[in-house]
Amino acid sequence: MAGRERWGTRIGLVLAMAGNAVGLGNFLRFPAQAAQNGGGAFLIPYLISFLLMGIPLLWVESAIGRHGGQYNHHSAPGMFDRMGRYRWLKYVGVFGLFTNLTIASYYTYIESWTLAYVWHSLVGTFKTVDPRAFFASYLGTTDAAFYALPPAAFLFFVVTLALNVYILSRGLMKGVELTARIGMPLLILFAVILVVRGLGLREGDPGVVQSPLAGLNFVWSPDLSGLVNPTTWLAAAGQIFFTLSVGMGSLHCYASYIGHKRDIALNAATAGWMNEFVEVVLGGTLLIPIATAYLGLAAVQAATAGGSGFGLGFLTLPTLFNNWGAFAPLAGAMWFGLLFFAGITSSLAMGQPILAFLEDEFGVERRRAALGFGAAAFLLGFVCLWLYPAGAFDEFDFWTGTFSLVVFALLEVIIFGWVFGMERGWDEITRGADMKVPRLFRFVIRYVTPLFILLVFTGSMVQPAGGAWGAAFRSLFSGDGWPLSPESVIGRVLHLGDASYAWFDAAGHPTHALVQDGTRLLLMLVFIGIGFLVHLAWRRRRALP
Amino acid sequence: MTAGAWGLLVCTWTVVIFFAVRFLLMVIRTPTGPNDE
Repeated sequence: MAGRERWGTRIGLVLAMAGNAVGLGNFLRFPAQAAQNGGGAFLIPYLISFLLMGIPLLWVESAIGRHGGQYNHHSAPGMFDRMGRYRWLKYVGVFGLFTNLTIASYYTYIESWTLAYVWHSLVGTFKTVDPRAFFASYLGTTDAAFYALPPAAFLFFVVTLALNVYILSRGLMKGVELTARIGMPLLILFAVILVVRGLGLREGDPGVVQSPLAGLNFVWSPDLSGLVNPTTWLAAAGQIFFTLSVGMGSLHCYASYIGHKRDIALNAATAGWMNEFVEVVLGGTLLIPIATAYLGLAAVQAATAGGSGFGLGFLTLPTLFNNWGAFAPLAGAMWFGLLFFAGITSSLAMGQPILAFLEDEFGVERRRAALGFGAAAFLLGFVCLWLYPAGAFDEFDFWTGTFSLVVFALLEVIIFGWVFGMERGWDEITRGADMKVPRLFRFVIRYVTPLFILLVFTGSMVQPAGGAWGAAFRSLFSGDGWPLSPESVIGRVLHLGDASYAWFDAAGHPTHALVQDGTRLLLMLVFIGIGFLVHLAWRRRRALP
Repeated sequence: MTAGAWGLLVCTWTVVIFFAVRFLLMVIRTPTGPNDE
């Protein structure tokens, strides 16, 4: 049973919690988001969101987790069931399994790319092959491709997933904690080496066209106009969500293995601030300065236009490292190695709640539960891999990795403050705390955080075209309606960006719209299926003597 | 880099490093295990 699982050391627990938060987004998404949203202007809303939404959510989720752990529940349905007398509460916990399983399925696929890139960096592939051509060939994406079954990508995906399953099957202390104790220090070491090397570049060095400080200046220049722009606030709050891995159910699970009277406040705060160190100090000083040094600021601005550093990280950086001579293979391996460690410490956190659910509620033995998680993640991940060119991956990323998180976080913070009750909630957060939790957060958790998340949720639902909120309100009040962005939640549901929306083209071939709708249906079925498992588990529980 | 950019970078880094190190030191100094009774 999962109840026998335990953390070995406190530092191991904190590193695992930080590893859960630190992911690929710290190095790829944060610098691009900061650069695209006014640089310095982005950072002020970002830090405010961290204090008013990020830290409170870390405490709330840890408190829900440790409270559920007392009753031998280590996954969200059981934890929420124990938060009140309502029978529907356990079904809110379905989100805590759904997001972890579905995100893990495509996240391990990205993780497998980083592992493949470590290998190809070390053997010098990128000295002779253009990374853009390599990436397309690796994923099987060509202009005409609809399906893809690229053998190398498939092999690395299976290897990465098998590694995750193996580590999870070793248990919390010998698997998850040990990986975090090795992976997190190595990640920070690799990042520091690359930051020092990158900032040490000078104009006149081979291939360098501009000082890396120009890139740093681009990210950090104060631009106060962004402070009154809702789009900047939405981007900053959204980044806090993704970077802290809140609204998923994984932190709840880790906290459920902490003793009833042991600290959660300091552990969660330490993990949160460690994540900020990796993101703001290391992530903000790596990708953009190095890319600026070799490509120039204008090219970097163009490459991060969509708010993602993915293109720079995977398609451009491997070539740029070639300017570093004999150090190039090692630099590439360190860059993709740190992304791999960031990825695996997060994907393990996604797998653990699934194992815990199967162990706690169905009495499945750990190794079998790990295999069960691996099989489910493989089937869903295969859909992402196979239909990658047709857009299945992006659908997974948006509906599970973006939308679901916000919904679950909103529900959990409301249930914590208003159903569980702030008296009990505050007692849960502060019991055994090794730090003084400012009393102000009692008010913040009950009122400010839910309102904050509600604004983020509403903003993402009705985000106007081009992020022009002022123009959208003027249009609304002048009777011309609200100009929805195709990227908004409603815009996506209605396929606003697809002028010729149809499931089959004139020749009768399936279209991307069919794959988008099919993927959404699949995700809904997974959600309903997990809900049914929860129903079965409680029926089984009631039938026990 | 402009003075404004340096200023923002130094202030933000100081806050982030201060809290990350402070809390980590507090964790190390109170090493009671997460499951100790």
